[in-house]
Amino acid sequence: MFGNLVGSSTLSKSLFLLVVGLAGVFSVLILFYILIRVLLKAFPEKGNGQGND
Amino acid sequence: MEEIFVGFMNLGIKQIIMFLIGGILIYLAIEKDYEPMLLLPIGFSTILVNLPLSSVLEYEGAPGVLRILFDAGIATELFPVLIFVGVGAMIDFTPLFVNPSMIFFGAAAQFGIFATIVLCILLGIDDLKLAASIGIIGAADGPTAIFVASKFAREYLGPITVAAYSYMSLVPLVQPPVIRALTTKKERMIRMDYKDVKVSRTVKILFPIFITIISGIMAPISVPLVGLLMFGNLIRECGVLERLSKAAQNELSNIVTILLGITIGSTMTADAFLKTTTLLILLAGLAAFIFDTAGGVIFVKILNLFRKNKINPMVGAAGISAFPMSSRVIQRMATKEDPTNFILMQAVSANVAGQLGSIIAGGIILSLVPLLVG
Repeated sequence: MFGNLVGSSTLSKSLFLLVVGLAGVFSVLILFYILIRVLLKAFPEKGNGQGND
Repeated sequence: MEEIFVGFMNLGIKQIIMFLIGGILIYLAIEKDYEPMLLLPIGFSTILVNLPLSSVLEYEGAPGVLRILFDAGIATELFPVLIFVGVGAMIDFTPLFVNPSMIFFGAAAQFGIFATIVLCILLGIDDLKLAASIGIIGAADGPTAIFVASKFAREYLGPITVAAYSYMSLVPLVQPPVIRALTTKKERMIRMDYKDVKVSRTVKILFPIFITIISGIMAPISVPLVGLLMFGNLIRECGVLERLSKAAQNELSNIVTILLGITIGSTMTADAFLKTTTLLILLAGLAAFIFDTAGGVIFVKILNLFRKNKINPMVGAAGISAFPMSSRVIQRMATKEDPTNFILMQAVSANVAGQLGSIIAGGIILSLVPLLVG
């Protein structure tokens, strides 16, 4: 995937970085979101109501 | 006789300008309280390294004290990484556990980093590594900016660090006009429900461990950043290392901050600083914060198109990493529109998410840019 981009213009590379980088941040934080949900479900604090999400 | 005046004879206009810049940084730190812990050492070090024939960088062919500190702490990335241990020990992720969906605002508000990289290229910087180092100012996270800049653009470490910390302290001036321009009064008055939820200790302990593993697998190069941040957080949350937690929050952070500041200042020599690129770095850094804020607000507005329970778009702007300043700014703006509207906790959740988002963005840039540059 990166082979084609290495020879391309710096602007093309920066636009690629914009799209892939932002998508990457969202992807990792989605994983963190799932992790938080799973941890909260697996280890609830006794006497808790439900959160507001 | 000449030897007595050798300092005067080697004093040029560039050095005098740098003394003024150092003085301005010291003034901003002391009088305006703009990130004094970093700007004051940087300002003083700027004066030190620009003194004629200064021996702090080099003396009779041997490295001077600041060069030794630079080689030991910045060239090796040791200082910024140690700062992360302290930062991790200071972060309380509980607000994020209470409002997990706020984590997405911590991603959206990283838009400024990537948009600024494109902006830098459009403005004529034909070096993706330098553009990325400037864009990372938008992380609103000093240590991340230092870490990335020390890898990609070491010669511009000084201006990048000064810009990062200056704009972080200027969040109360930068964010409100951008938010007001992008939202209506009605939107700024949106109320959000909040229920207090207690989070178990097990969750708080497992979270930093799992985050380290996930981040390490997805972006191995980010391990020093995320790993040591989470190590600091584990020390804090484990409940059995209170002394170490306090040491990381206080002694470690304080010592490394002193060394980091004075060492970064050592890169601010007249020849390295007085360039048009420095001006571009300062302007693009401001743009990064504006894009970050806009990214967070616009993301919430898009979400609101599909939601029954609307989110106050200002909360999206708190997704930057400048903690807790950004969430305080958002609450102040909400109170101004409606004195009974309380969205601080949601803003804090987004703000904590921003601290995670900025580090992940830094890790992704560190992974992708070398692949693109080839």
